[in-house]
Amino acid sequence: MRDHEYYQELMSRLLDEGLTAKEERELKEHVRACPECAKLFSAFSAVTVSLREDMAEPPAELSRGVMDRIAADKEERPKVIHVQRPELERERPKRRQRRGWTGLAAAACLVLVIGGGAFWFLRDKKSLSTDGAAPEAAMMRAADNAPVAGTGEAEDVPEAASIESDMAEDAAMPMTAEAAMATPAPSPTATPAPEPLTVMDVARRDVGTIAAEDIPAFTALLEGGEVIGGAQGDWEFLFSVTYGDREISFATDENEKRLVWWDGNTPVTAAHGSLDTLRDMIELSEAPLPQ
Amino acid sequence: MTREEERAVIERVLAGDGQAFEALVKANEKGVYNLALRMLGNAQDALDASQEAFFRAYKALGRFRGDSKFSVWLYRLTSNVCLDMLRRAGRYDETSLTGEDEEDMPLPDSRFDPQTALERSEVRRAVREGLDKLDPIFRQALVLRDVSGLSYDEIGQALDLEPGTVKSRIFRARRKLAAYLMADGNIFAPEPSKDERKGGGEDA
Repeated sequence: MRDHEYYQELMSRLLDEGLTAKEERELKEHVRACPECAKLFSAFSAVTVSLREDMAEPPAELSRGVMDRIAADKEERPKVIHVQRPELERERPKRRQRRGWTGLAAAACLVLVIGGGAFWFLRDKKSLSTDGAAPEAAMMRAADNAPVAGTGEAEDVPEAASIESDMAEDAAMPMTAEAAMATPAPSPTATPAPEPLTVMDVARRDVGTIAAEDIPAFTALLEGGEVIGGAQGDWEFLFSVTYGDREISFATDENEKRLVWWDGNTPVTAAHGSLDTLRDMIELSEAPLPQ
Repeated sequence: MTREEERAVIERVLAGDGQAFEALVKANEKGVYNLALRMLGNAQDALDASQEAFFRAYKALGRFRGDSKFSVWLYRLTSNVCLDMLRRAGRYDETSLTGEDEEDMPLPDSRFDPQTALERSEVRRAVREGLDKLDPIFRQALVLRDVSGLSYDEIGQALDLEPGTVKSRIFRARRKLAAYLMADGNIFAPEPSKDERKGGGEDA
């Protein structure tokens, strides 16, 4: 005969997912022969029935309190932030592209945290140094996908599409994080400073601004990130940014040790920085880290 | 509310219609409240925890990706809020947990007679009391099962546990509660248990 614990486990499973016919037969036989387990089974059943039946009605103030708190909390926004960017031009002159991406491990990411939420921009670093020419959408890149960029009206976020001159940025933009940090003022070519970025939420409302002088620092911070292979395991979704017809999603891993992003639904590339990087970026935005 | 309806409401909330969230509150408040009530043991704390859980859900709604049922995700938040409250109140100390290695309850005395079973209301009272004496992580698994009605798999999703661990915690919680029930109600005096020998404070 098996030990009592075996049959007691069967009792518990019987109350949940049921047993196989064989297990049920075993349990019945044992309970018939073992008064102790028979009594325990009665108690098991009583506990379970009692728990399942003993349901209270929630007080009316529950939902009222929640909704009042939501209404009073105008600063809070839903966490998914879509930053609509102009449709991207598919072709970009190779020469520019290559030069433009030199030294970039990944697209620059800018983070802005407002009211506990994190808002990111992905930008081509070189678009950060500007001379006030035609607006050009920031570039994004994920994995080894060819970066796409384009000119656009930047209708939704005109400020975000910081102005990029054709070639000036190559000389202008510091290529290391340190340089970027140390040189927030953009460029030796002394063109006008980049304009601040406007972050918009899904309803196209302005939810914040990244000051122009912070842009290089934000950019540089993320460049310290390492590029690794495909993401594994569970990732905590943070938000996404749409860019033309592309959507870039951001996440941290469950311990918030790494940041990762996807191009579309495919976690082909996980470029990640440390949590410290995230904290740094959040501190730059002078907003608290969401708990 | 079907999952499609839930999805539609969530989209509206994410698009800025905060008041649309009320439908999600209404559809889930009973489950959330009862989960909190059984976790915390009193109505005021349960109300506070429920409101906090819903508010956290609102703020984090963009993180809900629909991989699980919305209610499962919500119960996870609720359950975390409850553990936080227990922790703050000094009723839950993770560092003292013996977790899965916790020793088994002895088989209870056999003088329990189903014929003289406690009145139903008495059973409820005893079960509530017994719940309060369970280690919170065992209570959590059992309450998610029997009060919230989640499957082993769903509880595993909610708590990041293997289904086998879920099953084991529920089983242990039930056995402790059953023993408590049998020891309660003046049916018999509780036997000295191994817990006491070990000086453990987790006897139920």
